Amino acid sequence: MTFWQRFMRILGSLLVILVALVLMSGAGEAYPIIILVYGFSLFFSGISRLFFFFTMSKNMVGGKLDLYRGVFLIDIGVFTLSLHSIPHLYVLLYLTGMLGFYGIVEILGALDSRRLQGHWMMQMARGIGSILIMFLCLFFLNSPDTAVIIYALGLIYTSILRIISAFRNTNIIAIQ
Amino acid sequence: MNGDFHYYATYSAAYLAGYTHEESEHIAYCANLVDLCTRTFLRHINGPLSAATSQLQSELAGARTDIIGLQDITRIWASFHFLPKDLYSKVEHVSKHYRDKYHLICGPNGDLLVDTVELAKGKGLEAIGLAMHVLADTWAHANFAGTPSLVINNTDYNFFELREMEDGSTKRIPISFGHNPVTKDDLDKGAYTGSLYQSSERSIMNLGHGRAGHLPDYGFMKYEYVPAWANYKPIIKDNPSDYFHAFSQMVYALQYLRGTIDTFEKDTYDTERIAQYEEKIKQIIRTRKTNCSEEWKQFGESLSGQTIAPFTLETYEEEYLNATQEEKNNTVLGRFILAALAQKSMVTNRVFASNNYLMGFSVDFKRYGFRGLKDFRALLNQKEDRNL
Repeated sequence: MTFWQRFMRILGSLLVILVALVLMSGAGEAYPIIILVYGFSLFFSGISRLFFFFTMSKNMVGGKLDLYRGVFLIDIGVFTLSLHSIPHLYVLLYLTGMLGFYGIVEILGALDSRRLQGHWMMQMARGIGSILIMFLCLFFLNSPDTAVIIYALGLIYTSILRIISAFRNTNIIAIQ
Repeated sequence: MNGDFHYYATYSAAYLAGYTHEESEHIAYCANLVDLCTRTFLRHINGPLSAATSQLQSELAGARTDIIGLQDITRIWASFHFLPKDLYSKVEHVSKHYRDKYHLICGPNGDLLVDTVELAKGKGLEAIGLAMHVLADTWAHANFAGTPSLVINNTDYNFFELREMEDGSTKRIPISFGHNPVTKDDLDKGAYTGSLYQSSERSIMNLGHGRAGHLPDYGFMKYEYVPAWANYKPIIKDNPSDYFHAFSQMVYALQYLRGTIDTFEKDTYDTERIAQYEEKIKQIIRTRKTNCSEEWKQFGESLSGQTIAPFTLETYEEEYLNATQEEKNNTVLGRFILAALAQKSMVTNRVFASNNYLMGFSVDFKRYGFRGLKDFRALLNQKEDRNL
């Protein structure tokens, strides 16, 4: 990893932690921020997929799929951003639905890894964690403050893992 | 390629090149060890982990695919199993990132093959065995890259076996892929196991020939498919022909390494020396089996008149484990580890020099001194010992 890549990874993670802290301090008032963060992350995922298409997969057999994926993600991102004026209850339902979907994908991935005799426990734990958070959020549906705090803690956990991974060793010696 | 070729066929090639039975067995052992020298094995013998020449499925499943993780994976697979053919090949109207990956596509008779064989000269039978593994894989693994990459290694559903029938005609038989690693390949039904499609560029499922399953590893297999990088042009991969070329090139390279030929040149094969065995070799390669160890073993034994001991990973473990720290480099595994580090270092250096950082960084020792992974200090110590 180059110095710049390391720096960007740490900076990005610190920003997400900052957002999470703001969410926790604002709690119930923080829904517009969550929608903003989530909508933009989907939007930029779409942009990144389109970037991948134009720089890489346009040269690949069947690469047009990335073009369609990018457009779809941008569409979903814009849709999410448009949710700012609807009741918080629906926003929370939407977010927990997405979290549950992520959890199921993680669990399926972990089961695949297990079949390949790979490391699956962490991934399984993440999947189960996401499903648990989804249920916790549903349980606290009438208490939006608590649900926001649970969501923010998830963001902090992911960011810390990314920061740790940025400090891994990188050089290799070549002796001719 | 599988153990049948890397062990028994390499033995036969070494014997035909003039090595003794014991030397041939030793070279074959080290050629096959390349597929088994994983971090799990190195941890078991307390060896340097940077010398890993392969990765277990379990190691790959848990491998990180961030930049550092990818560089580590690429150093292993591109150095030993998917040696890049041309680091400077022309590909137009593409991004640098795509071009870097494209340049890692494996193929026979590249400049790096010459570097690999020349690097092994004078370094002992272990380095020779390792180089023979790399050489053989350049044929079997051609058209795939030793780095996780969807845009290079992906394949689509257009897969056909071109099977030669008894009446001499060729039948185009569709090939299907399942994704359960426990399921065995069914050669008659054309049902094989390949890695799952993953849309992520860096997914481990997109490493090497994973998407094409074990088709490149079967000598009898002649097939047609559309690689992701080939702009919709189908490719016919003729393993029977490629495996024969690999064998005859090994015989030639081994003579160079033995000192009976002065130079090693690309695209050169010793077909003369193996002329009287050509039909037999081709017959073994064409045998429709996933493992032809028995056939290759019989062939090797018929050449030398000696029994070839079966490959066992543990053969030299005790020697390495019981050696003192100073003596370790003089053991079989110690010399193999040094050869592996030297090969990895050389390929990384060549790729880095081509302005491609997919294998990581190569530090100019003369300018900056020793930096990076401490395991590679062993190469420096070896060089200093030689200069004394």
